[in-house]
Amino acid sequence: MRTDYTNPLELILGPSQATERPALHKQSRSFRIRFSDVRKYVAGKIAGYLISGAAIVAFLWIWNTLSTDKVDFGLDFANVPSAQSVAKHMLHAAASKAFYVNVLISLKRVWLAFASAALLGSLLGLALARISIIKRIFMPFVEIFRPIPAIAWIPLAILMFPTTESSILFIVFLGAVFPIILNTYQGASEVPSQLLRAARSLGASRISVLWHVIIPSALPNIATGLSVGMGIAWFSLLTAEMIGGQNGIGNYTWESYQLIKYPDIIVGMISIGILSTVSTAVINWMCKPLLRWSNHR
Amino acid sequence: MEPQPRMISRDAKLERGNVSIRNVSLRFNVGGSSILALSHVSLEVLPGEFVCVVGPSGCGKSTLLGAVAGFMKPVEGEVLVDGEPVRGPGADRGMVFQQHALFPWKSVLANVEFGLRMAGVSGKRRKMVSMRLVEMVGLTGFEHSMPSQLSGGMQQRVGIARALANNPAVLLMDEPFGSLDALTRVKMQELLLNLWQELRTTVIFVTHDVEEAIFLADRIVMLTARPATQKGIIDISLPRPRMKEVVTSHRFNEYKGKCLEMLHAESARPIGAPSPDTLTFGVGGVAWQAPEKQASQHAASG
Repeated sequence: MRTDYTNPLELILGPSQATERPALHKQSRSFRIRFSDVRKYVAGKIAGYLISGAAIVAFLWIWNTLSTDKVDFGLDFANVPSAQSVAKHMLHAAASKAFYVNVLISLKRVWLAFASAALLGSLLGLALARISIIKRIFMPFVEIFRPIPAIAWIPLAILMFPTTESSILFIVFLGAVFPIILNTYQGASEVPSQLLRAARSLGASRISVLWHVIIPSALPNIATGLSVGMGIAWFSLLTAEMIGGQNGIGNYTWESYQLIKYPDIIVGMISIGILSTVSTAVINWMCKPLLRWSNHR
Repeated sequence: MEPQPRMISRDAKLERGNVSIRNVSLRFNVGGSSILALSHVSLEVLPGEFVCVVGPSGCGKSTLLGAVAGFMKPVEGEVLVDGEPVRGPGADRGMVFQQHALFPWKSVLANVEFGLRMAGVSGKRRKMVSMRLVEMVGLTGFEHSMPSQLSGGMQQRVGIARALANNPAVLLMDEPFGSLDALTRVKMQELLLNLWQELRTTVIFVTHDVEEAIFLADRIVMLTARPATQKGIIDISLPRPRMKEVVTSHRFNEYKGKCLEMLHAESARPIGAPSPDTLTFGVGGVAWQAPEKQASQHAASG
């Protein structure tokens, strides 16, 4: 038995298989090492998933125990629906038309308001960064209104806007627009001056510089702004729907509380999480082809 | 100093690429205070000529180039390119930067094509010209690579091809090989001379490397430390085409002695004097020897 080197195979296959080691070693050592590396990698991955899965199972079990035993240790679990009942209600909701109508209403609101915020926010961000008079005029307002959370506008929005729908759209727009403005502004302000000079000395007009240099250079920041903006858009929407709406997934959640359909509260919460995550993923997916160049910098 | 008209033996018929820098002074603002970077600099560059501008680091060499490129406006004097006053950046003056300044979101080919695209050249012709330029700078096969995937030397090759695509009257180069390793730098210098010999573009090349300047230039313009004024002009009449072997020749060393003497006199100035280490004493870090010493060695060996 050779002991001058350690055989990685031994770790996975055990010493019995590893007795074939010398022959393998001569023929294709590099392949064997690669193969065992793959084994290790896969084993590590599987172990990782098992641990994560076990944690989730444990969480569900604790939740179920606390709610079915109606435990009260300061936090009162007496009225918290069990995981089982939530699962049941979820299947029920998934089979009902009303649930999807609410989801679609919320999706429509978010995407409408978000699209306006994306367009206006990125345009304003670019203008703030590149046109000094625009910066002088609008930057103070951005600074004044930025720290006010969108949901603080809800009462005023309800008073000002003719319909509840328009006030909800306004709140969502307001939530999404500031991260988009500020990120675009930052990206467009930090365009390397050498690139601007290079473009100018290659004969680019101001519009061409904007299109070929400033916008591409700011795109990573714009993408970040859109992604953050989408998250805040959902957050603002749900609050607005809970307070002012007659429909939508936020209203569904709030109404479930009022109508003592407690499992539906959690169904609403889970739906909100999924919708928000998927929306952000869509934004990232849409931006990805435009950002390929910045990945291997 | 009065610019002397000289015969360009290579091609006397060139009509494009005349640069007149007339009594130019230039200031720029740094942190609220205004700094005089150039003071009354005059220089006449003939069509097709290769001029190197040498001076201590931070003396305003790049500023002079910026004035020709149109990035900075002189407070006094003017720059004329082929009789036309410079009023801003333009495609007739191609620029190669110290740091490559390629558009990182565009492929090699798209970078090279950029100038032609701005000039409204059709896609087909654009591609033809750019492919030819990519070939000339030795990057065939890398057309679709992104700048970040290339080495420093390759990036500068793209930068040169991009600047040449517009067929500029003047090629302005701002220490383009300064950040490359010694071996790559020599290759790039030879490539540049080959391109220049083929295209006959006027080149104004800024460097702080004296050897580089002698190897490349028809004339070397020496600048003083800030504010830069013209210290003197040295004609380099080494034969062309130049091979790298020329750096070991006796005449090359004489020129080197002359240049360094001039720079040393400059760096001995008490105010605003640059430290000697801002000057590069040759590609391989070979120490410069005084001309007398070399001459005596030469005599001893001969």
